[in-house]
Amino acid sequence: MTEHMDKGALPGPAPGVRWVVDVGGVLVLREEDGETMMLAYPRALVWDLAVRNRPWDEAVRLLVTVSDVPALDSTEYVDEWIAEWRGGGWLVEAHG
Amino acid sequence: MANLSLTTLCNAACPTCFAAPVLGRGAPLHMDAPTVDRALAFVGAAQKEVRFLGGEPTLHPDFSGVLDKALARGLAVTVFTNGNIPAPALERLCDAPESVLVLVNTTAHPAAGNLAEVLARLGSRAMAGANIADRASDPGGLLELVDRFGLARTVRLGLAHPVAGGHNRYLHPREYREIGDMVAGFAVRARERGVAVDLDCGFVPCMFGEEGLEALGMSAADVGMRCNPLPDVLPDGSVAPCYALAPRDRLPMDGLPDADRARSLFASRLAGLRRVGIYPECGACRYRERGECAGGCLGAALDRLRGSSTARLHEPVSGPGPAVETGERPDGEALASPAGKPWALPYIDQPMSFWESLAGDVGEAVGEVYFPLPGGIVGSGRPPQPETRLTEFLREAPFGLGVVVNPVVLPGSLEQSARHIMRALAHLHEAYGLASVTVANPSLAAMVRDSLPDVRVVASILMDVALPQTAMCLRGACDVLVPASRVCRNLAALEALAAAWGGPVRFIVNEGCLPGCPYRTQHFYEMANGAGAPQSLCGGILARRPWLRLTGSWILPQHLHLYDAVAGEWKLSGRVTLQDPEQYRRVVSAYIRREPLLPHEIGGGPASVDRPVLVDERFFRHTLACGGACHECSLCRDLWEAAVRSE
Repeated sequence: MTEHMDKGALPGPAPGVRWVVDVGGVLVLREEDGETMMLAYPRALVWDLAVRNRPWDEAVRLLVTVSDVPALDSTEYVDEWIAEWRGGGWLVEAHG
Repeated sequence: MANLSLTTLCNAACPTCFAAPVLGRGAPLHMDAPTVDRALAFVGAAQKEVRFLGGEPTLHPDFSGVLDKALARGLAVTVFTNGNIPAPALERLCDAPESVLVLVNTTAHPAAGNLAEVLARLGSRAMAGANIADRASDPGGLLELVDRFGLARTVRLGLAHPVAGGHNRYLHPREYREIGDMVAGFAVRARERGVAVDLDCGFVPCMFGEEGLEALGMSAADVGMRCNPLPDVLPDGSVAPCYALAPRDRLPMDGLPDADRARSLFASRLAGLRRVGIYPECGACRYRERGECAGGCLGAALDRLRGSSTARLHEPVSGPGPAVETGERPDGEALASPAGKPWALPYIDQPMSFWESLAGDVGEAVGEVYFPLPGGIVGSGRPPQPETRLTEFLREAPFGLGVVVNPVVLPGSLEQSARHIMRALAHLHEAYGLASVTVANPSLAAMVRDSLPDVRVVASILMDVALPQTAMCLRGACDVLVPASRVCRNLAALEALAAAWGGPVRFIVNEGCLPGCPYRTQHFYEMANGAGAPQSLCGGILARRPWLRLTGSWILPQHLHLYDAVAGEWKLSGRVTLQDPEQYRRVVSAYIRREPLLPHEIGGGPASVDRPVLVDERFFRHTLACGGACHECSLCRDLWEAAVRSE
């Protein structure tokens, strides 16, 4: 978890990526091509932190707090999910 | 079936109108003859029915000719009208064949009424309809109209829907369940009188439940698959999936083969949005799983989305110019800001020559001049000011009129205060025509909107709206939002606020108060209701930390561009500080032309910068992102001290 202290803010939503909080999680929509992605919790939690430009270490910490994921695994999950969303063009490096 | 919007012209001013944000309210634009021909071919190549909409379609200068062309192509025609039909068009409709149906929206707000005559003349070729905008919209009166005028024995009910990027009044889906009970009860009464009920788009089965569906005599799919957008051909020849989505999704008709394929194309483009639904529960809904519900109005689904859209919002199809719809007020605009006139200026007690001269200089940019509600009925955000020339100004002003009714607290209960306020506002509107009313109380806002539907309601800075959730709560009650002074220098907060609000945001550029000032409520209370000479209570704070003046809620003219992404309108304060007419003109001109001023020159309040300090853009940008973390930053203090040292 310590290494994330230096990572700063999570990547933010790419232009034209919009989302809505649903009962089962977060539904993400890319306006340009109409592509959607449904994120159940706890992935939805990390998405929510990303779109609010929260720090990386906060995502790791909160994931441990709200789920039963051990701290070390939490780091991996956040890394993996963020990489996946960035690779899919859903997130881009945070602005400002 | 497809819709042809024949004209932007309308002789009604319905607050729920979902066409107005698309069509605009400027100079009317009628669909010209070549576009009519192409549009009818576009529809007729694939379909057997066309619907005429507007604006008010019967105001098209060649309405009869357009109708004849559609009939000549063998198309059945439905005319959607507000019922205020000009005599020639009415004559033509009375003589039209049975394939022409006239759907009369009896809940429209026409400027003049010949509804009874129209219904009597049209008889059974007219179908009565009602648009439900709130829980008070009981459609029961439709049954009386059917019997009294011998109308078609089917009535049509619609829901008021939101428009992308618009700010029309609409029924929020959270109220659907209650409306569903009302509609189901109405359907039972209608059936007892031999009248069928037809539903327009956007109804969903879950608003009725199984019992309600039974009362309606409809299956879940009959109700739930009604948001299946028809293409709308607009007067300029562009095609949109529906009015609610037209501001974000529109294509030229020439690039589309026919209406059917346009519909398929739009359905494909909207498939992602279709998944969103109007409720958080839509994703797990049994009606949707069974293919019995499409998820409700796409405009309402769009309204739920967070994040910034990159979809291009189209300009209204009409050009700029004076509105002609109602004929009541020459400057015309009610709910939308007058095109290209984003500024609201304070009234100062000057002769008409001053205002006429000002109008000549900057009138193109000024939407309204505002003043406190006369007569001492209730205070505003400032102590009383001279108003010896106010009556003359009201009568002859070359600008729209804005009235501010925004004491930080009302002097009594809302019930006690509102009666007098509403009476005075109604009088002012009747006598002079108001463009806007600024209020600091959400309930009062709703009352104004209900009583004066053609007047814009502005949420005052004194409503202290700083959070997205608060902004969201004001939707439907207000037309314009003025953000709290404590977030005026916090661009991230403003972006969130603007996204949650979705409508025009108006910034006061020169108020100058300290963000989050602990004395603010007492200060504004004293100014509006209390002391004759109110104190600037923040004086002690500023004596100890004068550099805080640099953190105030002001924006210099040369930095307005930094707010362009979140601001739609601007307001200059200064009823007290800009009473000198020359200074007033100088400041107004600089702001409208975005010419540089120093912060002590803007006519701000007592907490404003009181000495020349050069505020460059780099510094100002920093303060838009610093979050007011003055405990760990010395930038403002350093700049202030440098300015003092250089004096």
